[in-house]
Amino acid sequence: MSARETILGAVRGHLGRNAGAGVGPPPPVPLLGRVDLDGPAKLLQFGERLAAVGGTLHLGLADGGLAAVRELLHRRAPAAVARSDAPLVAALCAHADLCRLPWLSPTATKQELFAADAGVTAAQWAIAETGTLVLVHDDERHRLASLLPPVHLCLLPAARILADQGELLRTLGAPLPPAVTFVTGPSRTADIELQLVVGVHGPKELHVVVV
Amino acid sequence: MPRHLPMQEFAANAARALQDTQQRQALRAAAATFAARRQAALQQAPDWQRWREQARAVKDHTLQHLDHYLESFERNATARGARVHWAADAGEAVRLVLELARAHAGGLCVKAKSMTTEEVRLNDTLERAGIEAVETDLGEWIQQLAGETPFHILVPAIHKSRGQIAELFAQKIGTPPGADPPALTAAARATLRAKFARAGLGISGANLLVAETGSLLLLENEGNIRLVTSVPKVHVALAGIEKLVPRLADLDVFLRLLPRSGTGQALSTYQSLLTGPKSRPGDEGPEELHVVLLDNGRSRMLAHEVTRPSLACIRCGACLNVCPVYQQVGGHAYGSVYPGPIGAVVTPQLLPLADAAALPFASSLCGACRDVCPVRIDIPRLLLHLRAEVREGTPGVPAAKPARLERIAMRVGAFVMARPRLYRFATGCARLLDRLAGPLLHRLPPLSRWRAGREVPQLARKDFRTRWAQRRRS
Ligand code: SF4
Repeated sequence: MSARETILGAVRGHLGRNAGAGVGPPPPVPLLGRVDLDGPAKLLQFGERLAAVGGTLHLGLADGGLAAVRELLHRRAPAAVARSDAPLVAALCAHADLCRLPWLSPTATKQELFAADAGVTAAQWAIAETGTLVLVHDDERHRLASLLPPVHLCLLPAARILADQGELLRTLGAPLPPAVTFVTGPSRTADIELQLVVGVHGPKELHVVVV
Repeated sequence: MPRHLPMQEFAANAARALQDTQQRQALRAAAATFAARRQAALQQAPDWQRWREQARAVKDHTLQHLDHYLESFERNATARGARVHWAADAGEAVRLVLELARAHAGGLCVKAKSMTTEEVRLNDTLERAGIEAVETDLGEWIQQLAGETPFHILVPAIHKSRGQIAELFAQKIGTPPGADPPALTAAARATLRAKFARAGLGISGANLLVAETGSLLLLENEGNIRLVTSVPKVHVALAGIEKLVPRLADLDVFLRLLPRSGTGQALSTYQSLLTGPKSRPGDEGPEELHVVLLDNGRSRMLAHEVTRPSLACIRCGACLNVCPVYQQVGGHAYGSVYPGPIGAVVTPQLLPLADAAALPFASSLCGACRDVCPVRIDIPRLLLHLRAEVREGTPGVPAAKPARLERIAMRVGAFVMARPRLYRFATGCARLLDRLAGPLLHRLPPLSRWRAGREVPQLARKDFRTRWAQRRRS
């Protein structure tokens, strides 16, 4: 007998169920978060929660984030900047003020990405309740650009902020892409004497530029 | 290879742990920190009790129909290109992972923290096969460098001081002596990045499996799980069969409960929701995704309505953090991958009961674990159930007879308590004896032995029945 048959047989035996026995509906899914926030309130809450977990919010509503990104990148004089293939990011990179930065190609190799000093991506969604960015990796190539460099700059369209994670899970729907990442603040650990240290394996700095 | 302490000797392990002042200090400080963080998190969550009930209802439903949800997970994950494997026991699980490691690792695997891989002792097997398996969670890596098993299910090196860790790092990776936690963390980052860049296989566990979409959910703070699951060419996740939830929407409640219970965060820094390997050749992410579904004693727990809730556990660690026994003796004394209250419950059920017979007794039954458990597992009730199984035996397991004196005492006690007059007479005598010769009796066996770890209360001068009768008269 295969391990599969052994396990399913044992599970059924112990539960007293027959193969293919019916299943009633699971308990209904209640609404657990808040759904009564309007646009500005969502942005405000997102900013507060992001700050609480150590991220920084920048407003780039008027210029598509240009001033904020310029300021953040120029001050660091990076040797290599990773970027995703999102149209929002491409538009920024092409701008006269930024096009001379040492941009990597959106299809840079892992080795190049490991060595990058910053990464610029967009986010598909955000969650106001927790200050979370949601990266849907099918829509944009940002799985590694948002993870490997020590600084992550993320462009977030204001209209993409949802109230809570319940709303997000309903929005994602089927079929799910191979990977969705929820990002709530910079990488952190408390593994040594429970003391908070920011920047372990992921970015040490997280900047969200609302556009 | 790190070894566990012998779990049959919990009492001796505990006695030794109590001598370790540094460790007890670390545990005390950690308990206070955890309590404060959790309380602050719960203050922001007025619906906590409602969430707990919802989560438990979902778990109960899933466990009652587990065969259905396992098959549904397998179908949906396979449809998305994942390879689903089944392992009835630890041996099968390590064989499956070893095969993948031989084929893909190129001599090096990177591992995300996973209690399940500890449970099956995966690292030992890989090591014997000459394949390096590097733990990448900072705490777990510290334990690996030190040659120790994890001390806590969330914070593996919680018992170590920064000084001890600095010394360990200085010895093993050449950091300057006396480095502070940020410097130690930076050194770990640099060392482990080289491993991530080279490893051919990423090994993880899973916090939850979603049946309807065939997805895995992984929670973390450091980012190492994201690396393990997206940089190497192949990713394998080892997950117990109890990790299932029916629907994507069910994640909401578990994401609310798990981080708040464990670390007091509203949400952990990263959640990875993974559904199959990459779908286009040019995309990022692993080319192959394997999921190993592990039984290893779990299906047995489904049989009884008392033991079934053991499988609802989401490994949040909250019960360890509030347990007065864990706070004193720490994680290693249990001799199991799973320490603390939940360890005392699942270890004797995962292993042959006789091997872990001491663990259900490693509790004062104070109930703090039940009160904090986000899925409302009645741990004291489970411990009593397991104690009864140890004492009275279950099919296939002979009863472990208590000491003769204890047996006689219990029988005499039962005889006396069933006879009200005799009981009154006996307690009267005891009160008299206590007043006349109490201190002396406490110093003589058998009371002296019992007293080694406890206080003997002084008996009240008048018993309740007498006082009650007097009150009614006046
Ligand atoms: S038994 Fe409950 S409190 Fe303990 S680890 Fe499991 S879920 Fe958390």
